[in-house]
Amino acid sequence: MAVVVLLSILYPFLKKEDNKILVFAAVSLSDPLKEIKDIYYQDENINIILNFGGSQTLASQISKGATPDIFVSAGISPLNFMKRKNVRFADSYFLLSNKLIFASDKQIVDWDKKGIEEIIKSEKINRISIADPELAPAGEYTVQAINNMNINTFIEKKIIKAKNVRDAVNHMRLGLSDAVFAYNTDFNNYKDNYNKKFISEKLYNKIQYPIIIFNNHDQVDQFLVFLNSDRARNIFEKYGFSKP
Amino acid sequence: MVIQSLILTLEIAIIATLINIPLAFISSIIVTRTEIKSLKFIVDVFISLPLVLPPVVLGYFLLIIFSPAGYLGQILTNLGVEVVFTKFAAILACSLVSFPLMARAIIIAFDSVDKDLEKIARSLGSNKLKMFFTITLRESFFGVCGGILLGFARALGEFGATIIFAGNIEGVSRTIPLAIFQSIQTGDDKNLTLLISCSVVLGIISVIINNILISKSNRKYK
Amino acid sequence: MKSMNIQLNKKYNDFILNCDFSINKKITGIFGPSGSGKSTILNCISGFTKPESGHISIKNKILYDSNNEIYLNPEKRNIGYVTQKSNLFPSMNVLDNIKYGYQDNCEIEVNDIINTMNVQDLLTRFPNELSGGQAQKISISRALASNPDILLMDEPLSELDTQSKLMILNYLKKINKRYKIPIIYVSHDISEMIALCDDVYMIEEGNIKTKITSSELSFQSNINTDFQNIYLLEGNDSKELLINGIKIKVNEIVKKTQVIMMLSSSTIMISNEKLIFDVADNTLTGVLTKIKNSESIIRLFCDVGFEIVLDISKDYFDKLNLKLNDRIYVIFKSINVNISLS
Repeated sequence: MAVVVLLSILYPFLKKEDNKILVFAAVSLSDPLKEIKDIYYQDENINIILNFGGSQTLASQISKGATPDIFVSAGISPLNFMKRKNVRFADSYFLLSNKLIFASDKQIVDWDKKGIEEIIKSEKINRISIADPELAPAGEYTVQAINNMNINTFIEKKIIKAKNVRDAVNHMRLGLSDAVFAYNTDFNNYKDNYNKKFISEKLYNKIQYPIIIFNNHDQVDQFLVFLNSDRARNIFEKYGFSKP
Repeated sequence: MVIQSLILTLEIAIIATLINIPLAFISSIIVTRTEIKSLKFIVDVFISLPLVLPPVVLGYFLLIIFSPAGYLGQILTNLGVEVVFTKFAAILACSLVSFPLMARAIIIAFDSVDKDLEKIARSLGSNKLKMFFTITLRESFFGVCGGILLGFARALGEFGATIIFAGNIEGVSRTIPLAIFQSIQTGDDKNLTLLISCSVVLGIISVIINNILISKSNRKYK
Repeated sequence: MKSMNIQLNKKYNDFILNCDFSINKKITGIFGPSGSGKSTILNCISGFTKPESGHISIKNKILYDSNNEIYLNPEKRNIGYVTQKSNLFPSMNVLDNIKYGYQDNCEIEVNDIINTMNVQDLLTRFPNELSGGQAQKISISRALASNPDILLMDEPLSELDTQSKLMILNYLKKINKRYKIPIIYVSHDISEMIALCDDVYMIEEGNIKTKITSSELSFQSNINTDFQNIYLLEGNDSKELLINGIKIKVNEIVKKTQVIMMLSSSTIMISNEKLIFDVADNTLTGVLTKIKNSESIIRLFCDVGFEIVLDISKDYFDKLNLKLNDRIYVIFKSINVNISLS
C-alpha cells in the first residue's frame, strides 16, 4: 500500500511531456540560450529544456543512451567522438563560431594603432595568461595563433597557463597577469576596463559550434528555424558569438 | 535562481529521503535479524555498493538502465513514462547515493541496543516481533533519526550522479551543487557567493540538528 | 513438593554440564565459582540456550523435552529473569519498565508489587536517575509483574554496595514468602547463599546433583577475605534480635519487620574461658565445630545455637590451644552488627 502512495506522489514527475524540446548545450551558451528559451516560450508556448554541461561529458551521456532532441557543442571533437561511437543523428551543421582575442586591462598608449606583436613586447605586459592547450580547446587555438604570429621567442617567458580559458581571464582580473588570450564571449561579463584586439582569423582554425539534430519532428524543425533567424542571431551576437 | 535551486534541492532531498526510509528499514532489519546467510550477504552488497562506487559511475549506471535504449527504458517508454533528465531522475540519483549511508547508520543503531535488554524483553513475554518494535526500535530511536538525517544531508550535496542521470536543467535538476557548478562555469560570481552561503547554512543546520539529537539521546543514556 | 524438574546436558566450554535436580516453592541456590556454568544453566531454563538433551518442566508445563522435541520459546515460558546489571529499558520510566510484561489477567497485581517493593516514589524516574539498589528493586518488580512461574536470579547483588545488598536480600525473602514464587538464585557469594537460600546445590566439575548444607558451604569460603555472617530475622520493636531463640543485642531499635543482620568475621572475638566481666555487649557460648587453616589466619566455625564464623590470627590460635568440640565463648560488640532496613 505504501508503494501505491509513493508512486502516486511521484507520478507527476514521471509523466512524459509533449510540449517540450530537450536541448543539450555547452555551458558557454548558457546566457544566450536562456534568453532564447524565454522568448520562444512566450511566442510559441513550447518549453525548451536546457541541459548545460561540458561538451565532452554531454557527448558521453549521449553515447550511453541519453536522447536529447538537439545538441550544441563547443568545438568539433565531441561531434567526432559521437561519430566514432556510432551515435545516430539526423543532421548536423555549424550554428555559431567564436573568435579569439587578445585583451589587456593595462593602459597602453595607442592601443588601436599598434599591432599585437608590439604590445606584447611592451614593458607593461609582463605576464600573459592562456588556457592550457593540453586541457582546453581554447588553449589549442591560442597556441596555434601564437605559432603563426611568429612571436614564440619573446612571448614564451611571459606566458602563464590556466586550467581553462575562464581561469585565464580571472588571472587578469585578479592582477596575476597583465593580458590574456581568450574567446570573445568570455569578455561579455567582464566589468573592468579593458582593450581587446581580434586575432586575425587566418592564424587559427575556425572555432566552430556545431549543432547536432537527433530528431526532425515539426516541433524541432520549427525551433531550428528560430535559432537561425535574425532575432536569435542578434541575441547570440550580443553575448559575443559570431556567425558560423 | 538561488531561491529556485534552494527549493528544488530541499524538495528533491526530502522526497529521496522519504523513499529511502522504508527501504533502509527493510534492509537493516534483514541484515541485523535474518539467519539466512545468503540473503544477508546479498542485501549487504546492495547497501555497500553505492557507497564504494563513484557517484558519476552510479549516474552512468542509471542512465544506461533507464535510457530509452536500455531494457527498463524501453518498457517505460511504452508506458508513456520518461525518467532520464527529469526531476524524478534527480530524486532517484540522490536516493541511490544516500541510501547506503542511511542503511548503515540504522544498522549500527539497531546493533547498539544492548542484547541483554532484548533478552530481558523476551523473558518478560515479548516475542521477537514485539521485542523489535517495543525495545529495539525504541531504544535505537535517536540513532535511527541520526541515520535518516545523514542520508538527507548526503542527498542535499549530491552532484555526480545527478548531473549524469538527470542533467543540469534549471528548475528540474539544478540543485544547489549543480547551480554552484553552473555559476563557476559561467563566471556568475554574484549567484555563486549566494549559493555557497546557502550550502554552508544547510550544512550548519544539519550539524545543529544532529547535535540536538545527540544531546537528547545522552539525557536518557548515562 | 516439587515445583520444577530440571534435567539437562549441555556442552559448555570444554566440559559437559550435567544437571539433574528439582526445586520446590522456596529459594534454591546454585553455587559455584566463576565459569562453572551457572549462567548457562539459567539460560537453558529460560530458553535462550538449547541444551544437547534433557527435560525441563515447571508444575505441569513442559518447557523443554529433547525426546519429544518440545522447545518453548523464551517468551512463552513465564520465567522472570533478574540479571547482575539491572538492564532496565533506558527510554522508559520506572513505571513503564515495571509494566512492560504486565497484563490485566496477571495473578499478581502490579500495584501490590509496587507497594511490596516500596518503589512508589520512583515511578516517574528514568533508569539513569536510579542508584544501583533502586534499579535492582525495579528489575525485580518488573520480573514479578510479568506473571512468572519462577524467578531466576543471576548474581543480582554483585554490583551493589553492602547496604543495598542487604536490602535486596531482604526483599527477595519477602517476595518469596508473599507471592510463593520459587526462586533459583545463582551466585558465587557464600554469605548471600547461606542467608537467603533454603536449599543450595553446588556445581562440581559440571555436575549438579546433590544438595550442600550451609555448614558445608560456609566452610568453602575464602579465608583471605572476611566472611559475612548474614541472618534473616524478625525485629520486635527493641534493641534485641533473636536467632534461633538466642538473644543478640544490637545498637538500634528494630521494628517488627523482617530485617537482615550482618556481622563480619574479623570483628568477632573468641575465648576458651568464661569471662569474669563483660568486655562487649554480646557474649554467646557454644562449641567449636570446624577449623579452617591458612598460613596467617585461622577461621573458626562455632555452633552457638546457630552457626557463627570468626577469624583469628594463627599466633593467637596457637596460644589458645583450641581443639574441635571445645566449649568456647564468642564475643562481639553491638555496634559491629549491621542491620538492613527496607
